[in-house]
Amino acid sequence: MKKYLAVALGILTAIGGFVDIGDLVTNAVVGARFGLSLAWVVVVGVIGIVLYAYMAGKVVALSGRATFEIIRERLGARAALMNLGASFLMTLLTLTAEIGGIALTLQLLTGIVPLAWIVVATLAVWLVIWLVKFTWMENAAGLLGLTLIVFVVSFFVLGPDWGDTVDQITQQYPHPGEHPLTYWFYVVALFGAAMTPYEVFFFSSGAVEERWGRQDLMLARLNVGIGFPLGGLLSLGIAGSAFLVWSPEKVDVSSLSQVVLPVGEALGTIGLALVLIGVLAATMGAALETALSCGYTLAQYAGWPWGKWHRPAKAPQFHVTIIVCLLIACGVLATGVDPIMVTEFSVVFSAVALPLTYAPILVVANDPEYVGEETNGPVLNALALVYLVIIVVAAVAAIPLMVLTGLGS
Amino acid sequence: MTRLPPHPAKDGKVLDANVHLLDRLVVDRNDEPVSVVSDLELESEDGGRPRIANLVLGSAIVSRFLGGHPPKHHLDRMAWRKVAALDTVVHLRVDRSELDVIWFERWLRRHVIGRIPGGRRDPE
Amino acid sequence: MRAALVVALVVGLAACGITTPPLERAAGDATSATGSAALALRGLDDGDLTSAVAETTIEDAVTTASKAAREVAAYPAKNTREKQLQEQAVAAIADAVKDLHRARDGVRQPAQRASLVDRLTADRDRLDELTTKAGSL
Repeated sequence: MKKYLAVALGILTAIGGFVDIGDLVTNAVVGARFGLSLAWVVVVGVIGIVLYAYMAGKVVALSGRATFEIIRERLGARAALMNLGASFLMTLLTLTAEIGGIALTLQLLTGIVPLAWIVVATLAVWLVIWLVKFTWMENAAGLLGLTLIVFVVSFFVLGPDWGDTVDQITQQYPHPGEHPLTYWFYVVALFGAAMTPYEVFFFSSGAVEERWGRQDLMLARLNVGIGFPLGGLLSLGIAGSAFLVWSPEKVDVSSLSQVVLPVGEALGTIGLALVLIGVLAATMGAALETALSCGYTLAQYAGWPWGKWHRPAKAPQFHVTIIVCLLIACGVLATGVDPIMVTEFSVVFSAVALPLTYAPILVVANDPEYVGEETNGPVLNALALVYLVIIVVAAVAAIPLMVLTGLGS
Repeated sequence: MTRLPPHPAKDGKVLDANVHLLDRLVVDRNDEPVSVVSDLELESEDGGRPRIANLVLGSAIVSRFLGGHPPKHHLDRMAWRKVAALDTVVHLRVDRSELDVIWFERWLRRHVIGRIPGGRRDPE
Repeated sequence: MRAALVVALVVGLAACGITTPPLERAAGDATSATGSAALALRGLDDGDLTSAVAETTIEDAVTTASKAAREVAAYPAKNTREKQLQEQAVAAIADAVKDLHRARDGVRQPAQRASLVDRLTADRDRLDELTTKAGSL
C-alpha cells in the first residue's frame, strides 16, 4: 500500500495545478466554447510541467535543495526578489480563490450561502497545516481528488459524436462567433495554468518534507509521470463534458455550479455527490498547496527554517507567513469578490514568475555540484530549452492578450 | 584587453565568490538553516592578498538593492573561521541557538507561535 | 517604465476596438443564464440533480441576467436600429428575469417545473435570436 501511496505527492501537486478552482472553471469555459480544440494545449502543458517538475525533484533527491533556494542562489538577491514578489502574489491570489472555491463547493453541497463558509474554510486549511502530518495531508487530498475521474466517465456516458470529437481535436479553425485572439487568450491561460510556478515550489518542497534521497529518483519519475498526465486527463474530461452538455444549450460557463452540472446530467445524483467530494478535495488540496507554497518560497528566499515536519515552534516565520496569508485571503473574500475572477488576475504575474522560476531549475539540473553525474541528457536539455522559449513567449503574450480580449469575454 | 594574471596553482578548490558564496544558504552544524549569505567582508594584512574576514548574513539585502552602506553595527556578521565546509550550502561549526541572527525567529516563537495551542507539538 | 506605459496605452486603445460590443455581450450573458437555469430545473425534475445544485445554478443565473438587464438598459444606442434592438432586448431580458425568479421558487414546487422549463427555453431562444441580431449590427 505504501508503495502505491508514494505517488500521492505528484497527484496532489497535479490536482492543485490542473483542477484547482480557477482551472475547473476555465476548462469548462473552454470546453463549452471551443469543444476539445484546445486539448493540444493541455498536452503541451503536461509535457512541460513533467519535464521541469522532474528536474526540480531530481535536484531535491540529489542535493536536498528546494526550488526557491536554487532561484536565490542562481539569480542573486535582486532578480530573485522580483520573482519572489511575482510568485508570492500569484500564489496568494490563488490561495484566496481556492478558499472561495471551498466555500462555493460547500454551498453546492448544503445550499447555504458561500459567505458563511469562508471562515470555516480558512480555519480548516490552517488546522490541517498546523496539526496534520504532511503524508496524511497529501494522501487524503490526493486520493479523494481522484473521484474527479467522474468527469471523464461522464464524457463517455454523455456519448460524444466521435467523428466530431476528432474534428475538434485536429482542426483548430474556425470557431464561429469567436475572435481568434480569444482562442489565443485561452491557449496562453491553459498553458500558464499547467505551468504555474507554485506547482514546482510545492513539489520540490514536498519532496524535502518527505526526505527524498538518491534512491528516490525513480519515485520522482513515477510521481511526475503519473500525477501530471492524470491532472491533464481530468481537465480534458471537464472540458469534454462541459462541451456536450452546455454547447447545445448555447450556454457560456461562468460558475462552479455549471462545471459540475454535466456530471449530474450523465450520472445522476450519485455522480454529483462524487464530483462534489472531488471538487472539495481538489480545492482544499490546492488551498493547502498554495498556503504552504507561500511559506516555502518566503522561507527559502530568506533562509528561515521551514517545513511541516518540524513542530510549528521550530519554524515560526514559516507558520506566521502562512497565518498572515490565510488572514489576507479571508479578508479579501469577505468583501464579496468573485473568487474565480481573482484567479484570472494572477495571470498578470506569470510574465515575471514563469521564466525566472524555470530557468534556474534548468541551470542547476545541469550542475554537477548539485546533481553529481545525473546531469540532464542532451534530449532532456533540448526539450527543456524549447519549453523555456515557449514559456517566455506565453509569459510575454499573457498580459496584452488579457487586455485585448477583456479576459476572454 | 588586459590579461588577468594566471591563477596561483594551489591545492584545494577554486571558488567564485559570486557563484559559490553569495546568496547561498547558511546552515548550522546540525544542518538547520541559519540565514543566507548576502555579502562578504574582505580584509588584507599589510597590503597582502585580500581574504574573507566575515560573511554578512541576511540583513544587507537593502544595501545591495539600493546601494550605500548600512552602519557596520547593523550587519549580522559571521566570522569566516566559523565556516566548517562548503558544498551547495555553507556549513557552520556552531549551533544556531548560539547565534544572534535568529533573534526575530526567537521573538516570534516566544510571543506568537508558542502561544497558539499545539504550536509546540509535533504534527501527527 | 515609460515604454511600459506606452505599450499599455496602445494595448488599451486597441482593446476598445476589439472587445465584443456591449449589447451583444449582455444579450449573450442573458441567453446563457436562461439556458443554464432551464437545464438545472429539468435536471432536478428528472432526479439527476440535487436541489442545492439546481438552486445555486438558478441563483447564479438570476444574478447574471439581472446584471445583463442593467447593462442593456444603460447602453447608449447610436442609431434607430440599435435603439429598436435595445428595446427588444430590454423586454426580452425582463421576461427572462421574471421567469428565472419563478424558476427559483419552482425548485420547491415540482408541479410547475415542466412548464417553467418550457418558458425558460422559449426565453432562451428569443434571447439567442436577439444576440445574433446584435452581433450583426
